[in-house]
Amino acid sequence: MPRLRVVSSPASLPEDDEIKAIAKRDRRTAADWIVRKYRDPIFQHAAWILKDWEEAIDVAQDVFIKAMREKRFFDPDFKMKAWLYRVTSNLCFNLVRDRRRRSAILEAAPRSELLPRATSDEPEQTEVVFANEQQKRIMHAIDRLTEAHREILLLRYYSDLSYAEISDTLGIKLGTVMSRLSRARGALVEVLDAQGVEMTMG
Amino acid sequence: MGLACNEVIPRLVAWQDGELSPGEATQVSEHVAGCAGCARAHHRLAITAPLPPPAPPAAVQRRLAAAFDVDAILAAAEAPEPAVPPAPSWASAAWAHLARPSAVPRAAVLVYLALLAAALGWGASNWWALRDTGAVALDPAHPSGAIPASQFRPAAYDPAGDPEDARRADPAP
Repeated sequence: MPRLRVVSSPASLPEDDEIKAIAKRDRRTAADWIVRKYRDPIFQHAAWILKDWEEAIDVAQDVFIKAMREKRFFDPDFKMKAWLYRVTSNLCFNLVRDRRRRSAILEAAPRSELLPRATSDEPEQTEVVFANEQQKRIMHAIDRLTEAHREILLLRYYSDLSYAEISDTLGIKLGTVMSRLSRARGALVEVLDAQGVEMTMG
Repeated sequence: MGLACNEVIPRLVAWQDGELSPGEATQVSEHVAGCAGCARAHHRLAITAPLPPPAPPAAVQRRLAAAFDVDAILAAAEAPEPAVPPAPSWASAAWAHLARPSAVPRAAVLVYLALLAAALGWGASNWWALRDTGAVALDPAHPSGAIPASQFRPAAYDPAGDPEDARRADPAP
């Protein structure tokens, strides 16, 4: 089966190695290329985990500040893309965990002790993402999987990373990428089957 | 030699993703072509393959672009790193543990701890009181507090002992 890869970056963007070469002479220009090349993908990866545009913008900024603080970032053997995705994933899943903990405490506390909640913790934006009903259901089903399964599915199918890139990002062997993805997809099928919705091709 | 079903199933996703070696991909596709069960599994996976969501709304993209300035990022990176809050001490970790919503109400834990402290305090004060009267005097020859059995003599059989003991002893029949 032929692999369909979404071409997300225009051809005019330099390869990572070219950016590293530029960094030797001019760190600012290299930083500019890094931001131009990875700002949108990193922001989107954050948004798919967090389901909140504003939070995702904050995280993406944080990721690039951390990257520029990282001394080895432009080193020849440094895996820039994997590093950016890894840091983004970690920051976002920490936020998701904090959010869950906070709302658990809010739920547990007696109502009278709390100020009225100005906004709901529930994000509102995913509904607008997919026009396609089936892909919308798939996205909701992904949300119900474990963190590890969610993470690997988002990296592979939403951010379009190759297995080798996922292996670098998660720091796991290629064989583990393959088996974890296979299990994650199996879990996804089970969640969708449990919802009893007939899926169709396309 | 072809692959067995239990070898094909875990490779279906990688096959669909185009991540198998050409040799393995051929083996999988040959097997799927001739095996109804694996073909069904392949179809189920294929129709549930997630596709990348469309780009965020234009307004969001504008906010994103406005929020990103490479000079601001470099300046922030140059600035000293924000102070890392000190690692939580065991006490605050314990408090956080207690503060988390749990099946045991926090008040009950506090009452339990208070009772435990009171009991320990009562025990300690008794011990000191007894020690002052000499009733539990530690033998310097046996700092561990263990006194050899030979030194335990019922007072009644030791008239030559301490007069205090002698007075308490039963009068001889």
